[in-house]
Amino acid sequence: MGTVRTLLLSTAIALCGCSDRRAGSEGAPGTTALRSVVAVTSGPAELLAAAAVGPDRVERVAPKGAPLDRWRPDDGALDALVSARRVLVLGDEAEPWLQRAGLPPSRTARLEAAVPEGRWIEVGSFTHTHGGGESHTHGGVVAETWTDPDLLRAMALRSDEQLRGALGGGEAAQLPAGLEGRIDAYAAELKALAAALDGRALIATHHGMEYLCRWAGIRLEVTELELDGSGAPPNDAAVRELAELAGLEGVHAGVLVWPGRLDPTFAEMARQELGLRSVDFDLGGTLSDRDTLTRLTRSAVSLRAAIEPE
Amino acid sequence: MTSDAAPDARPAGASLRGVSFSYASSAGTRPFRLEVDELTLHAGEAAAVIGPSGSGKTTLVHLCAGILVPASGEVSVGGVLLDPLTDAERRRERARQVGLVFQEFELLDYLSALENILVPLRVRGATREELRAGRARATELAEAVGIADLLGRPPAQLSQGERQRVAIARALVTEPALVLCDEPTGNLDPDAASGAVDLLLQEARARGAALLMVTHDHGLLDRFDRVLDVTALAGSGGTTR
Amino acid sequence: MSGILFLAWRHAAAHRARTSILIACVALALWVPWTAGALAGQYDRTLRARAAQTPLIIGAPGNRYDLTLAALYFRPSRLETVPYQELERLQEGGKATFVPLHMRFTARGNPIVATSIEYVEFRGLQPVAGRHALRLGEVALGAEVAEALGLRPGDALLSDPTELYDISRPPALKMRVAGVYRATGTPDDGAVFCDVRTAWVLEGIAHGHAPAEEIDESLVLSRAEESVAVSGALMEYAEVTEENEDTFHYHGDTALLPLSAVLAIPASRKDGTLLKSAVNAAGDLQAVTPTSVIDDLLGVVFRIKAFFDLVGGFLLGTTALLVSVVFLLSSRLRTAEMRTLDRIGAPRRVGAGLIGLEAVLVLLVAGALAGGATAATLRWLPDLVSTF
Repeated sequence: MGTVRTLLLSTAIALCGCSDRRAGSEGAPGTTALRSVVAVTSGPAELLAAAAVGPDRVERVAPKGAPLDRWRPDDGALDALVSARRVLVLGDEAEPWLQRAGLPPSRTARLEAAVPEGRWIEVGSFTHTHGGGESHTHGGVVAETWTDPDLLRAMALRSDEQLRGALGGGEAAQLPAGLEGRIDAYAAELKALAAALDGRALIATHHGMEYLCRWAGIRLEVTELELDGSGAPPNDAAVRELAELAGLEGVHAGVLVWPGRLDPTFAEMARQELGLRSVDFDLGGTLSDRDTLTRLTRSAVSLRAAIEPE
Repeated sequence: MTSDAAPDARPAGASLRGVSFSYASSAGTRPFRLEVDELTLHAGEAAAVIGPSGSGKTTLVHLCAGILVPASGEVSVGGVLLDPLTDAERRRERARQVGLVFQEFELLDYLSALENILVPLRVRGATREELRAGRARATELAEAVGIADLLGRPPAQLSQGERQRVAIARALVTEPALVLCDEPTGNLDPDAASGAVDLLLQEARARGAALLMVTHDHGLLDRFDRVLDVTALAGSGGTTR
Repeated sequence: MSGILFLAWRHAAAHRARTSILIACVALALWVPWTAGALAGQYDRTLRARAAQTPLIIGAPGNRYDLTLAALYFRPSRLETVPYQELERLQEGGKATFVPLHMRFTARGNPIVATSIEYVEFRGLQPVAGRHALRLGEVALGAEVAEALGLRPGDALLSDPTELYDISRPPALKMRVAGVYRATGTPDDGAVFCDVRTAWVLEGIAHGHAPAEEIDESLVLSRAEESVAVSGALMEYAEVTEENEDTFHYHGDTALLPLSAVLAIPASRKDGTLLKSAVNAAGDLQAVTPTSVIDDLLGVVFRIKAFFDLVGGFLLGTTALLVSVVFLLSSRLRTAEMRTLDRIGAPRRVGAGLIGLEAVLVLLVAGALAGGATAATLRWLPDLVSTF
């Protein structure tokens, strides 16, 4: 009789075990706690997020000065990105790491989406290495869209629309007045620069100037020297091209614009041998102590100052 | 009319008084009828029942056991009058007061010898304590009848004589007032039959039980206190000696 | 009663073979309908629970059952794909949170569910070890997969090649295990999760390889100033590593990258209704409510189950009759024994009691066995129904 009782008990226990396993096994959806911040990894995103939701609610995830085309998030940065209520990024063109990281689509706003299809600037592309350094891909689509005041306005509207509601900032509507004024001021500087150039071309070491020049009606000649400050020799073809350009008196403004990092050695050589004054132009893409618009506007002012003696 | 020649002071193991039992026979034969004016078996007394086949020996045993109920008269076992009892009460009394030994022994093949001995206790729904006491008595009885080493065996592994001893122990385990035996030696050889009867008589007497045994073996009759001829139970009381 | 029960028990125990066969027959006849009923009930509950937790599924027009079963339970199916831009377009509408799903591939037989972090949050998946799969080439394993394959964070898992003999298809991808999820008792336990971009690598739409100018000259077909044409024999990386991660890139328009389905989690019921009607009215996609699809599906399943219940009933009835015959014959064979017990003083109808109790014992043991077998089936083969 004991055997029968044991069997019955075992059955009951087994059945209870089964039901316990099922009970409450489904997790409650949407329980992940998100931080009420907008995570950013670029200067333009930080500028626009701060304008939309206030600087206190903007969190930098990338370090200061990290180049947009080479930085990629470590585990800590990824965790910070996916746990933010919103992530504001430029997009795959300016930030290639986005192609390889799993950001939440519903919480990620891409500023590049505000750029109309026909407004992208495409340039020839090729990939190469030099010396023993990394290989680089040049060309394709120029990524610095935010330097165009109109595109920056469009991006500002988009970020405002996507961020303000999400963080409880009230109705998304129009460009914040302060930002509007600052973009206008930047645009005015670009216009002043174009006026100062008076039809002469700018020679730049990088395509990053393309958008602002297009907007301001400035002719741009780009020569990709590929100087990264490592002491590696410059791209010979680009140097030859630069020498030819420098020789065309009156066509250019006598300045060599460095939208990337200025190479002092080459800059000195260009001044002595080609008669070109080097001017640094901060496109405001990276995170820095000053915001993107400040850096862009100041760069435009500096550039105008550099060409005005002419 | 009485079956006894002189009054006896001992308590009655069983008594039948003015009993009449009959049942219709199949077509063409005479109806069966058994009448007992008075029959008393005292505690410790042993009686053999003889008579031709069909004369009512087994019927007499069944009347004494309360298996059959007479049309009239009184049957009492161990001082309990059976007639007014219900069927269930009669069964309980039978299990308590009567030990039965059958010709075929009728052991249950799926039980061990010990379990067979305890069957009368089981069927009357004995309590744990009663069963424990019964088990002790069964062991003692098995010792007495010489099967102490065989208690764990099923009937199939016992000889005829051993089975007979198990059946005797089963009949005595409840300490009955009356032991009824229906030709218990019919399937035994003469030596074994003699031994079995001696054993039965010895154990019944030792336990103060009245014993009534149906037998055809006239060679055994001198061992009994009384021999009853079932054909003469009416009137003379049937005692032949 | 206890004495009769003892005799019944001893009789059953003494006739072991007969009793065992009877118990086996009854247990089998009980196990089949019990297990079928319990599994079907469990299947029903699980299906409905999963469906009830999933407000809306959006996919390419086609079989809505395939779409629902694929999106909820990762059943292999040939779904038409939805371009990723549709998700972005839906997202613009702002009516819901949209979660991408891509389910074409398997890894050692387990479905690879390529999705985004929102899916993990929506289903409440919690890493019990490691973290979510957020990088290209990373996977996070459901509890059953991790247990079955014995994998832990840091281990590698190979995807199953889709076309073994087609060298134009991408090779198996060696994926890193980033984390293992806590068991949920849902189909998520049996899945391998990765970011949707990893699925595009598996599709061959995204890949990584050595830069064009570092390629072995024997593989270069032509080299112009701004482009290099290379042979198809150029080996693509079969693993995404720290070193080669940056070389992984897409070919073609990323907006057209394929998805199997999109889960929609509307903010409100009204938003859900509006979204569903808008999607279905547009016609290029279909939006289905999983509960209604599962109700339809279970309607069919349970009509079939009713038939099997009937068959089970007949089986049980037949067994009951056969068992009755056995006990009837047994009672005939035991007439002498019953008579003996009757004469010894056993209660009236002791025979019926003995046979009845023995039958009850057989039924109890068979019931316990069938119950145990049913419980064991539910525990160790919970997917028995779904495997058919």
